[in-house]
Amino acid sequence: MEEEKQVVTKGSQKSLEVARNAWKFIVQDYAEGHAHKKAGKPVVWSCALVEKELYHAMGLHPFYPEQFAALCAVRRKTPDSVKEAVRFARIAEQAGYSSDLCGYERVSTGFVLNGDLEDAPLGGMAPPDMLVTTSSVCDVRLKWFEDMAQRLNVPLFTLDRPERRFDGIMQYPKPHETRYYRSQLEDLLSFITEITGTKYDPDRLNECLDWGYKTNELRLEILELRKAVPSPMGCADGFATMYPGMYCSGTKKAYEFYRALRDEVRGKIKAGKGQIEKEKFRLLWYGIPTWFNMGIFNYFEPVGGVFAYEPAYNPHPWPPRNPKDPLEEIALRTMTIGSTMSTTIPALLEQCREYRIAGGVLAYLITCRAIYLPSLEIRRALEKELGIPSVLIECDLVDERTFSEGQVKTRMDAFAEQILKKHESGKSLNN
Amino acid sequence: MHEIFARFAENRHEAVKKWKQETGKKVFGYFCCLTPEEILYAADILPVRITGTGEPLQKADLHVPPNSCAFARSCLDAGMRGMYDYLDGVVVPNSCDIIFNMEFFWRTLVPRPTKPAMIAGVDIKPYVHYINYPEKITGREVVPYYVEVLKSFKQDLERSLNRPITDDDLARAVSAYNQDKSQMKRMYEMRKSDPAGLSGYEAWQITYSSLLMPKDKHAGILKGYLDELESNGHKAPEGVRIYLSGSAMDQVNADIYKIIEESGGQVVSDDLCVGTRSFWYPLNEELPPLEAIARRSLGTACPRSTVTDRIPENRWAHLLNTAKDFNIEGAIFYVLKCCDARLGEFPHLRDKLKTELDIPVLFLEGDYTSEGVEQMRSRVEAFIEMIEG
Repeated sequence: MEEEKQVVTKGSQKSLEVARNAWKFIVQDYAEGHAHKKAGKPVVWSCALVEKELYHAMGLHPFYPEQFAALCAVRRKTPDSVKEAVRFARIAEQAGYSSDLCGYERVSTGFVLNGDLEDAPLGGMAPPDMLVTTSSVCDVRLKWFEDMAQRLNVPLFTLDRPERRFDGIMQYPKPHETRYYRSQLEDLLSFITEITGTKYDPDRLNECLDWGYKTNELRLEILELRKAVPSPMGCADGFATMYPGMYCSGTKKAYEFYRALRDEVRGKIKAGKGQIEKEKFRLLWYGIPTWFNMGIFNYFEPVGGVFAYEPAYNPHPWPPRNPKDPLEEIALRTMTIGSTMSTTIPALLEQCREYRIAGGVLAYLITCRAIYLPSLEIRRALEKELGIPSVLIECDLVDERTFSEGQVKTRMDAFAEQILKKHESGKSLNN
Repeated sequence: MHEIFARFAENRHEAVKKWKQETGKKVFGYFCCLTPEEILYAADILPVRITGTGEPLQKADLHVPPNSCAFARSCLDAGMRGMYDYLDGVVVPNSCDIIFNMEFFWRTLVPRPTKPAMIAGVDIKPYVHYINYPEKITGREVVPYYVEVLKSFKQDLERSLNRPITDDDLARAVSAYNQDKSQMKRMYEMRKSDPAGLSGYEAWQITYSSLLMPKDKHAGILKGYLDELESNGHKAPEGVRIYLSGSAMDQVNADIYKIIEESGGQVVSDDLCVGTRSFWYPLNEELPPLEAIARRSLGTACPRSTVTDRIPENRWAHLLNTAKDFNIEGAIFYVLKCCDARLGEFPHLRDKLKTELDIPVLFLEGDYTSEGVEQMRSRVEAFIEMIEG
């Protein structure tokens, strides 16, 4: 059998202390989850865009297969073995799961099929008492969680967020849309009660929503701060610090994490310090990162390029707190967002103006339909509306077997040259 | 084969254009069997299913990435090339990640034959209509929610056409659709016999033509045709009884039926959107018509949808019933690349077929070209030989 060539990848150099230590937050959260399970308390496996405050209010510890797959993309069992993501993806593929399927799905399915849930980075995800998914973002999340429910024989609840179509960046939903979503939140709470015995306590939910709301406000403030020139916080920092906001919203520890991050970013701006000594041009990263090779975010630094903005995982403004009816508040908040191209492309263009982006690196994630489908139209809009060039980087999100280092470097070098030429010709790079 | 079914199935654009010229009525294109086409019919519009060409793309590849669904890209390419220039409107339901985005692509890239009617920044006669179909098709509030979605669609249509669509219009549509559904079911019943009453390919042509013809006309012709087949004792050739499951199946890839049937198999039932899913679910004429339409649409066992069951097994239950009813001996899954819902459910359904019914399974990965279908011939032959023993 031909020996497989190991792909050369590396982690990123982060510019912020809080980002460098974000890893410890994740390690601790996994440890808390395992301790929670050992104490006989319930665990849920879920995904981004389900409202996490509900879990914390109902005494559940959540694990997230998508985030776990990203974790597996950076860890090896032994120094000589393939990344854990590759090991698990192979198990799934051998069982008949197409290699065209989402990398997150293949990795977590392989982890389930492997049989030993502790045989994985950070002790794996603790065995679930329930699964909760959402129709937000992509179809895969429905079938993937259905499949895990069937394989693990664990009950599943699906929240359906109807995909609204509207032009522009955001729009309040119609009453029947909010009513539909709210009814599902009520059913989810009953579902959790039935399995765990924990009753819904609106006061406890309000407490979690208070933390979640304050955390979201901090995250929005950080986004605003990141517009500063030179860029005080890059995409490597952004991706490294998304975990508490995406997965622990509703907890005090997430709030404290972002308070420290906000303070550090403020401090850097005050001191006039950027990610690098001499910032020449600022870049957009569109899409989920290539988790197995985060070093890509430092690639342009030697020629003065910094990644300044990434739309994935960023917060959007929430409606005000409504302590009298927290479920209505959650329904309104979730139904306000839109993810059609009529919404996302204008939003991205606006963000490129605000963050003074000179070029875009678009992650063409070959197994992620939600990310790759708009990529050609985004490239066209960036060029046509803002005169911004962009480059497509083709690979999977977590499966490094799809990554062609030589090809990526050639494309990125040509792209950097194109931007620098513009810089040398005196054209503004800060759009 | 009845001449008119073959004419629509083999030369769809010409057949529909001719119908439009003769009747002077409007034609709307739509994606997916979940579309509430009954509402279009009630407005005296002919709904026709949009399909592709299987030819190399000429225009869409600049806009829709190559990894995405070859069927959807081909449909869009056909639109951009003007092949659907006879349409007066297009309806796109949220039926999967790719089709959902056809609303944007069709609206921004396909030249529309009529100018927008802009009033204060709003197009009051939209060319492309979006149906926000739920992804979870059961649950206590899903029907009221979806009825509201259908009401909005009806109102948009009324405004565009400048005419009301009354409950009587809707009831007439519901009745016409039920008549066609009952004839289509009758045709499938005839395929339960061994040998089947008509071949899989014949049944596919009839099904496909039902998506391009007015339902009342289709039902009438089909009734006469089936009466004739029954009275003369027509039977399809004997063959291994095959269940065909897969992604979009139109004139480009329907040759898979011919290959199966030329290899000693006989397709007796299916799980296809140009197949059982387009007619299997009757409309309850006792209900208010919009609710009946909503419930029909939500009742469709689309692989992309989910249900509120603790451990959803609705897809397996549907397959199990079909396999038993039609006495299936082998199952062929023809799945296009990028069809994530089908790719994701395949291992589970394959395992269930093997362990619970001892039915062998063949998986074919399609590329939506007739050449690609032809390349599958040897695998299909080997599979059927294996079952024949």
